[in-house]
Amino acid sequence: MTFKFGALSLMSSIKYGLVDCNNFFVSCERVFNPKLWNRPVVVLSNNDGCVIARSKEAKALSIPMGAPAFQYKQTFLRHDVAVLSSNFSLYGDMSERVMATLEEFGFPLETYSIDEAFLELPSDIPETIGTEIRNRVLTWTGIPISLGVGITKTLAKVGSDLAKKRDDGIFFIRELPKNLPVQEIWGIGSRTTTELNHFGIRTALELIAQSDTWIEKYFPSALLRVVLELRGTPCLSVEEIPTPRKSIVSSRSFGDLIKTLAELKAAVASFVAIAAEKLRQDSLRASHLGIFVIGKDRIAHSASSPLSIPTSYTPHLIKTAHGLLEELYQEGSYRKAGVMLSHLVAEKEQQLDFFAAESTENLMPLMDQINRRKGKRTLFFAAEGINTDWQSTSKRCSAHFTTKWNELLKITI
Amino acid sequence: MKLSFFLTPVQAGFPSPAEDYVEKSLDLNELLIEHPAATFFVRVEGNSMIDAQIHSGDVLIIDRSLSAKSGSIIIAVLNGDFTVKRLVLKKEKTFLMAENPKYPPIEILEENDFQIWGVVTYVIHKIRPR
Repeated sequence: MTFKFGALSLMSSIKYGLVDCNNFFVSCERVFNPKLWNRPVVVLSNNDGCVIARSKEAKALSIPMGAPAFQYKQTFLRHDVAVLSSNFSLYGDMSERVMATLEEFGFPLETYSIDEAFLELPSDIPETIGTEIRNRVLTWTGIPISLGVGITKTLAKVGSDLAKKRDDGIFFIRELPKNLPVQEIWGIGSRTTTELNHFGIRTALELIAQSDTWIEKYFPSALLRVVLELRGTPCLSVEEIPTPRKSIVSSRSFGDLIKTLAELKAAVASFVAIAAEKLRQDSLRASHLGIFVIGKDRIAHSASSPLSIPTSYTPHLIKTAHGLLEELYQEGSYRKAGVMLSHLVAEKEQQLDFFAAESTENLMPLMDQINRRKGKRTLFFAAEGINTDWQSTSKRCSAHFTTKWNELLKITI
Repeated sequence: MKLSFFLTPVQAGFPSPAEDYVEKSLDLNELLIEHPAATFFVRVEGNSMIDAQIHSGDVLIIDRSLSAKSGSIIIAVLNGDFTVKRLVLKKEKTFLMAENPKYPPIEILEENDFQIWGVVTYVIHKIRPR
């Protein structure tokens, strides 16, 4: 089957680029540790549970994404794999550096995830821009990237997958590859894949050959948008302003199982404190609070409650969370807990509550300021507990090279 | 009905004559860091660079966006280890020179695994004894 982009798209004056950092977490670690170069490296999730990032060499050893670390202990030993705990403050800082470097080019930019960004490029941009972008990000930050460019965001994403297989890491997509399986297309999930396969549609080319009316009849409207984008009609634009958060979740697996209500309360209080600080950072308040706990048997229990007035005041939130926890708690062992703040409203949009005490208004910003300046948990709530044994175990974490003065990279000269 | 109120307390009294001249106070980042996204800090130990005023325990400011020239003090990775030396290009040869007569120059050979990590722009050295 031959395939050409629709005539409409020829009039379009912009192209989309997707920048994707290669094996991002591993690449961040490698910037500060040459001993990890040319060697298989994996990064583990919180608590050193499973593999969440792999170097090219680790992929070649067929270590899958999500592999439980304990199951692969032998493989790690046999092939001298460097195994690291995740260091999210490092990855977050390096991500900001990559995005800031990309911004220097002056194209509208949308940070899509910690390691991906969309760029809006003029349609007549020479292809050499790819090498320019790639080289500058590598030189400035040490992070290698791939770049896919296409006339829609979905095509740019297909392009970036193809770019990763190339040595120069850059691909300008002009036509859809033959035999591109539908499940590899951005925006097509496993359920849609199953249904498409059921109709005998397995590849992107087979999918875009279907009529709009047929697609609309059998699938949610999101799929038609994917199809239009694959045909070359832009339906998604670069969102420079991040959409406001809909909810904030803070949760963690415990290093050791937690057995008492007191310990669980302390853990939940500190999740509330973390989530509430994020809330205040974004000038938001929550109108709804939910908590969940996961038992030793891996069964989750949850409870939630609306808040009388939207708030970001940590003590109120902790009190509500503890109330919910007391209802939920049954004797036993717990492996994980978390807090979700939702129905978020902007501070300034908030209605005034005649009965609410506002005397505490300045307390939280002051506390946040002190913690930013003097380090996390300089000030914290007694409810969070002084002993934080429940915190996750990250035994092989690298230093916070870019965010803590006492953990700078040391060089012997 | 619409009511207005003032967020800042109304000052009764003579306004500060300096008010129109308020400027933000000096920020060291402005002086020392030209490319924030490409700037990193490292701490050094050892005395091979003492004549370049780099002492053990000092913090170096590195700008990765700058290209190294002959004479630049650089952070390099040589055979898997970080080092700080002066880069010297002479007659198509590359040398890493210490700034201490006790340390011999290092010539970079084909078979060496050599990479320039960044260019040193400033040294932060504490004068007051600890």
